[in-house]
Amino acid sequence: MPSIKLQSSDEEIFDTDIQIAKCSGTIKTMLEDCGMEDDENAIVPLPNVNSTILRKVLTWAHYHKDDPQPTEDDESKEKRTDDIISWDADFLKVDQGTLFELILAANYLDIKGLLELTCKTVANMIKGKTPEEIRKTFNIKKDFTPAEEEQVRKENEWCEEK
Amino acid sequence: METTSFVDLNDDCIAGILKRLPARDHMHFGQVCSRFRNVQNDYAAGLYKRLELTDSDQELRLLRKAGEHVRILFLSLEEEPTPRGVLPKTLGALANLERITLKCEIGPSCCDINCIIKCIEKLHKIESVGLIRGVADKTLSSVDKYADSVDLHSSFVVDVEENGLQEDTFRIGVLPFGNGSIEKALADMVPHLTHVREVDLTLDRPAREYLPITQIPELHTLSLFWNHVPMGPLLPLLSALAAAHSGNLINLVLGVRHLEPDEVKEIARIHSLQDLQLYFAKPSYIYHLTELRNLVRLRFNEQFEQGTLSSPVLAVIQACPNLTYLHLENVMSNDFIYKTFAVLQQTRDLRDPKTLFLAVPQEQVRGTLQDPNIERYIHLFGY
Repeated sequence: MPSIKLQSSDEEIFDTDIQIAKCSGTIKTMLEDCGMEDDENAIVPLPNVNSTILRKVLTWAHYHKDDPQPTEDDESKEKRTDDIISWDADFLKVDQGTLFELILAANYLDIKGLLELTCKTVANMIKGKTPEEIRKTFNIKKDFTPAEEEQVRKENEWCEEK
Repeated sequence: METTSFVDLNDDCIAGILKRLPARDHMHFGQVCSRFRNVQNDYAAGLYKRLELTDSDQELRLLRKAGEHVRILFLSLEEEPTPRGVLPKTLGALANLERITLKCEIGPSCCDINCIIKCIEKLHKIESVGLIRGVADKTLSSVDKYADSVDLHSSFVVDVEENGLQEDTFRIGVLPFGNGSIEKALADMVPHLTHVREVDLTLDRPAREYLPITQIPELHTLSLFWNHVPMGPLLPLLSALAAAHSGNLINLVLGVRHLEPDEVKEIARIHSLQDLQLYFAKPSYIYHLTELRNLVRLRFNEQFEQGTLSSPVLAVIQACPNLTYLHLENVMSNDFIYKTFAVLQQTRDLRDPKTLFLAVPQEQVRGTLQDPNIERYIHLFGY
């Protein structure tokens, strides 16, 4: 099986099976457009992903290497958030920082399945919570301008017909 | 190094999370902080173009907020809207709405539905209103087409009066505006008909408009008749049916007098078929049915043109080892019975042959041979 070298932001080299690397749309395009596929010594730099995260991404990609390509069809897709398989659930038992870095990495590397999974996981953490509970969960500051405060207040009341 | 937090995500990622959040949580999401609020506003056109909601407070608030972006809406009416009048008013403000499907299991009252429809009807871009009513049932036996809102309303009133407010029968209907086609409205409904297994319809619109019906996910019984109207080409509907259900459709009744060879070929692709009833009268296409090796029951409900029937029917008997019931409207020759006997001797278990029940016109039975050997294989009965 041919492999390529991926280089993380902290300059660690990952010898990676080319098929697994290609689950990333970004890497796939780079390889094909730059004709790097046949060059054994080529190094693909990934300046936006550190080694801890890249290792996790590759672990995920290895487990899911035989998954069918997710379809582009956004409109007909069901908004299900309860269909996460147990391997993935275990895989994502990580701190929030790692979870958000995985989202950024999946977005940057264009790995649809991983992006879907990580976004769903965060969505599940938001589900059913009030704005205040969401802020608390993710340590977010309420920073509305007075105008925005007023909009929010209006949203929360039903304006009865005059 | 500082840990990455929610607000370090770029807008695309935040929108990606929002996209996967159930609609009833969207208002709360937009009320967390400025950033979330801006992302929700910036991505609203894509997020809310097609929306599936119930009438919970939070979801109606979202509908009010994002109204201008909504083009296709699926609304499940579950609660008493509070306060009264909010729902029709909210729907009446959806300036770009093209199609809406209303699902109501119990309620709303006739007055409410009338009020809702009146508001929707005034929208400039509206193409159709779809209605899914009653408690989910495995059988779908009617697709109504309403002429106008008065028609819709009166059909609703009749049903409520006949069945009471609680026990509404399960049915779907469409009130189309503009070009009058019900196809898109049906396509919007079909993903929500997951409980439907059997569809039994008498249709009064061209065949192509019913194409979405073939996409009902768990369909195993389909029966279609047309109410003396030009039904147009049937091939697209049959192709879609074969493509979607060649492995799980068990029963098919097709009440049309004429089928083109290509149409019969599509039927022959549905390998899972066990029970097939047809009404067409040209024997030459029967050969295609030899593909349907799982057939148990086959009914030809129309008399065939005389002459060339026996060879293709014999071919089907030979090809379908499980066929135990065959209904023919034609009187067959004794020669056909002997040939059938010969075919069955070749193809069925010698020790314990599965009997073929052959339903034929009464006069056929009278003149028939008394032969215990044949009777082991063929049971003739007249009707």
